Amino acid sequence: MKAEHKAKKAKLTLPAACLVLLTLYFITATALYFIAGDAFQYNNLGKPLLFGRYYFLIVAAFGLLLALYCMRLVHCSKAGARSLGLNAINAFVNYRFLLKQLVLRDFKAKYKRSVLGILWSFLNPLLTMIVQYIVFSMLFKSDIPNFVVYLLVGIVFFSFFSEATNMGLMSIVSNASLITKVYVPKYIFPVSRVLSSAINFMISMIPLFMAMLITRVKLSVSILLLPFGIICTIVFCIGMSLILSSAMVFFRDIQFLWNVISMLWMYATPIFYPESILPQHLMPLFKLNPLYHFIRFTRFIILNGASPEPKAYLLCMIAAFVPLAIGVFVFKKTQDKFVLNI
Amino acid sequence: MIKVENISMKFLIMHDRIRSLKEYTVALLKRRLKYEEFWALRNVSFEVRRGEVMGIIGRNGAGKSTLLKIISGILKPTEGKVKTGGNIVPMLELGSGFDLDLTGRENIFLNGAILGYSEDFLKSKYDEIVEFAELEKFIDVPIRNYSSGMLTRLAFSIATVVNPEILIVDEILAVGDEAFQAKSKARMMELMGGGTTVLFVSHNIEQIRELCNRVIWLDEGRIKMIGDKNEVCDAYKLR
Repeated sequence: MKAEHKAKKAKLTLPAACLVLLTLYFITATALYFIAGDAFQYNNLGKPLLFGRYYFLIVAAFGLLLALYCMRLVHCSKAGARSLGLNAINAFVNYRFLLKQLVLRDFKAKYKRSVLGILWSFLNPLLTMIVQYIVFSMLFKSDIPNFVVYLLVGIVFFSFFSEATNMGLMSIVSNASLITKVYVPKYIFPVSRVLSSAINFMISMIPLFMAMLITRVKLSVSILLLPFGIICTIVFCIGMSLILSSAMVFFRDIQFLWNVISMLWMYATPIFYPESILPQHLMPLFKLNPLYHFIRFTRFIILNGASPEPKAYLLCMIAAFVPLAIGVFVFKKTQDKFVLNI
Repeated sequence: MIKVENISMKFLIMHDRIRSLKEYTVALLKRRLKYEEFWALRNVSFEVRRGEVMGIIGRNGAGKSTLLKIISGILKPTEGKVKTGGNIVPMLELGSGFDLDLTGRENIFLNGAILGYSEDFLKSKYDEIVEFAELEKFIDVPIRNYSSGMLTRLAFSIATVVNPEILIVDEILAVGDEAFQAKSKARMMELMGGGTTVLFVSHNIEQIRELCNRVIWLDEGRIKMIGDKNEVCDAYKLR
């Protein structure tokens, strides 16, 4: 009877989950090899790349590392020892129901009182795109081929970033009544806000696909690489939200500051202008912008119908996981003081 | 089982509360960042055995709520450690986390998830919760339209549907109308009597005498007295 409401033991045991993970890893890696094709073999000058030649060696090496880590996790869980990875897995298993409920709530609450409801997720990028298309095709005589799709990719990615960080920013402060009354792991609030924005992000992909069909973009198998860019963007937004939400607890004017910064960020990202108008000597500065890499990656896949060079993958991963690591660090350092300041 | 070892809790009180980056920079430049220390709890240690009902009494500001928050994991103590065995259900305030725009049904799942219940458990207990709250007719209405009595009834039903190993109660024995008060009191008695470890804060000394085994008297953040309920309650009344 006692504790019957405790999360039921996960149906998947840890060793089984590890096997599934490893299998998935190898399947994905192999699939990636065939989808990417020549992009991994030759650089844009046609010279052969070492990466392509040793691809499976690299994959196997990482697979081995992953397998070793899995073995360590299984060992830790058997010995009852604590480990960071194990804690994270446990937290996820215990709190995924709460996460699901919070994501649903944020998503429902957003459109609860509007007539068109969920349709707004779809209409919003479409209308923004139409307005911007009219403005920019008249103001700038842009020579970008397929400007509609080029623009729409930028808009969809940037509006996700802007929505997710703005919602994430308020996540701790607006759940103050909860945080001071019940124990819940606090990172769950920024994460749930970003994930509920991610649902919107997925819906706003529909107008993008429609634009691709209308403008007759050639669909190729490389479209399967899109999730990589999307996941990297979501990871980056989680990292940003962790930083912003904890800063917001201590300094309430961050929200006004963030409005200005995100506007600046929008103009610093090539959304409606071509990369070529950026001054060459400032390029290294623009390349520090994570969104630049995610958007460039996605545009390359859609407009060129091929995989970008291997370096683009690496840059996207760095641009996603470095901010996440900083976010996790900042959040962990400050979260015990949240209750005292909200 | 709850084991509290040498807990101290320090709050920093700022005289003019700085809440923005601008003010912070100005204060830092003027070197006027002054804090005042306030110890809400000092070296509190005690142990509650499995199945024991421990009462906590003391005047306002004695540190009772701070202690409950530390034990439920909401606050982290400045010094000391808390060990708890088993799942804790804190009933510090009912219905925290209700979303007014969602329906009663949606809120049962949201609030249940916040309290740490699993999805299967909530599904199996859903009818019981609705029945206990007497809200069958209104369950698909957004709770924005509920009366305050209906809200507390729903919150109470969700919070008490479990049989937790550790229950932390801050004065919420009676909610709703007379009939529901009787019902909720009976439910609380059932929870407290069923081998659950209970920490119970109240200003009602009679209730403490009726329900508890042992009592802690907190005064200005320190334990003034701990022991048998009658001894402590008598001493508290004489003070």
